[in-house]
Amino acid sequence: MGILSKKLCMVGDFGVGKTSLIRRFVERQFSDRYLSTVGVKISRKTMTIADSERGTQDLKLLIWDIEGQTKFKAIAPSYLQGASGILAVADLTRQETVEHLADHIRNFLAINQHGFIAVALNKADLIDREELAQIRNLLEQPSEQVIGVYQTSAKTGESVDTIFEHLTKRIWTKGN
Amino acid sequence: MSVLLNKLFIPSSVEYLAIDAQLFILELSAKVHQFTDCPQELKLGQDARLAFPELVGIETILQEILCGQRSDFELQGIARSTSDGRTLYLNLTCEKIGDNLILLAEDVTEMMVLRQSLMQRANEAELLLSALTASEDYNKKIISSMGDALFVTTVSGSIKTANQAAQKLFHYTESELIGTSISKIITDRDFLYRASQQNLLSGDFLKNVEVLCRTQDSQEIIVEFSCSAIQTTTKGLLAFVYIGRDITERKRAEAETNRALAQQKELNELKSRFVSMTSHEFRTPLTSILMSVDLLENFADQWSETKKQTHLQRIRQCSLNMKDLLEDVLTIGRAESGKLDFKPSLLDPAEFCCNLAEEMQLTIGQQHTIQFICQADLIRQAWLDEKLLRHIFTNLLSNAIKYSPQGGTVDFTLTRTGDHLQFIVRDHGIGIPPDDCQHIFDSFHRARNVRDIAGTGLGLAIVKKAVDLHRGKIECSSTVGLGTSFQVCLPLTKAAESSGLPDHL
Repeated sequence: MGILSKKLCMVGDFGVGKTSLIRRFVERQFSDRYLSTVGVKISRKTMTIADSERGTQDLKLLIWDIEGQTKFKAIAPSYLQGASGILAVADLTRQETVEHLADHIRNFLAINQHGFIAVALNKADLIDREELAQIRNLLEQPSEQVIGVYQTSAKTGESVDTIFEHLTKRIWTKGN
Repeated sequence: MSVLLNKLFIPSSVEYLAIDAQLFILELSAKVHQFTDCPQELKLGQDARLAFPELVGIETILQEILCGQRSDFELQGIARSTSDGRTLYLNLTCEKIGDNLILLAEDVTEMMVLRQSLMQRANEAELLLSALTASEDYNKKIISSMGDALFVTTVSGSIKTANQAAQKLFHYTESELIGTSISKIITDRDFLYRASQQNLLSGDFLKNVEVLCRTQDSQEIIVEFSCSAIQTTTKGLLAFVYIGRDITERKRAEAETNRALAQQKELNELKSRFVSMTSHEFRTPLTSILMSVDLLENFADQWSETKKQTHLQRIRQCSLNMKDLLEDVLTIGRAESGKLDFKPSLLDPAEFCCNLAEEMQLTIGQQHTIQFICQADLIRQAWLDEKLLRHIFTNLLSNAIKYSPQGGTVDFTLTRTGDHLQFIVRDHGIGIPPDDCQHIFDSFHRARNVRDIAGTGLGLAIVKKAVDLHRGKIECSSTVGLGTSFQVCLPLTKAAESSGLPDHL
């Protein structure tokens, strides 16, 4: 393959906006309608990454939109095999989804101990900034594999490109 | 390769792709194209990862399968968008076959679509429940933390909800309030009736109505209530929301302000009366004095000694009147500023009264008679302030005489009742109109029927102060045209000292 391909997985509870983040990032679109994802759907996006030391590189991202975790069904580990990184997504309006982030990160690192993680606190447009600061306190001390915590909004586009770009760049510069 | 494949039993619903260790396509089944969204990449000798991106990242796992370290690898429920806009789902399994790998793709669309439909409903329900729970929790927190009392009642007034502020304000627990009638709290029937007459259509609601309410310990408080009707979950059935704020303190402060304003008004009136009285009471004798002085200056050498004496006597009398008036003003001034002292000493009350009656009889002439009657076995010594006692009875007796212009007898009686001395001064004069009776002890107040009888309106105010200093009581009963009776009760004990109060008011 001439172009470098990297696998990214979206993980998180159901309804947190994983599909919407991909749709915003890849198709530049957003819909309020909730459509639950079953199984997995792979989206492609080619990015050009620039680095002062390594120059530029075209990189094909294969973004796995994985069925969200529910009370009854955990995320299948097979989907996470071979992923260079994940976007661990939570819904800021549902506190329990934020609390579950640590489990998602742990499960991913159990399979890919050198993988990178970017945390997306999604639906940031729906809550106050004061509330946001309080919710961020709920997060556990991040693992060193966690590159950052971003408050995102698939609806407004806030930090959507940034989180993908930061994660991709980290994967390229320091990844496996 | 094909020979080997032919040995495998592959169901018709499964398509396949044979690949080598470098993941290049060796062979493919006829309909495997439907399982890739890049059919143009699906060619013999092409990298299989271009058509099946699921293989990216799992190269190590595929090598493990080839080496026999792992039997297979499976990915379930992979979604593909078809050219006609549908979504197709497949399960992808990778196994070893000979020295190569085979990818088996099975169409599971039907099952996954069904699953998607179920998941959609379940997740939507869960999200809705989560939103409702959060909303309910939020509303409950608002209601429970709001400072105003909140009640929700049924149409019949039975309380369904009472927040913490309501429980605190009316001193009930929640369980005591739920199911109880709102009329137990709000005692204003008229307000409750008006509240019950509201409807949804008008959009109006009762706003900030001051109503009398009762707490559990029967304390009455004033609460400012707003009430509106709301639709319950049962169509056509209303509930009523009452929101109340305790304004007892505010009302108390208002009353205090009103009282202060009234007091201020009274003081202003007092000041006016004082100016009016003093200007009148001083001007009249001053005019007489000036007139007599003028006459004496101009005609003294022509007048007889008797006539000169008459004018000198008038000057003296007018001066004495003004001195008395000044004394009264000073006395009431001292009393009101708390500087009038109570200095009791042991004295014989009957002897004091008898002497006073005789003294006054000498100055009033024959038209009036002061008749002093004393109980035979009266105590001979009592703790009384002679100076204050003189203020009391000089004023009461001189009033009795002054307001009996037709003359007659003034009864002055002294008796003992228990540990009190009872003094009564009764005249048969013009009397006091009922409306004035409640103000007769106010400074400068004069009854409307005094006409041209001179007076300052200070005498009875001084009497009241002096009685109060004795910790005594004074009562007045009067009938216009028939006369007036003042009853003074003074304690025999050293009232001020025994009560621990200071010597002056």
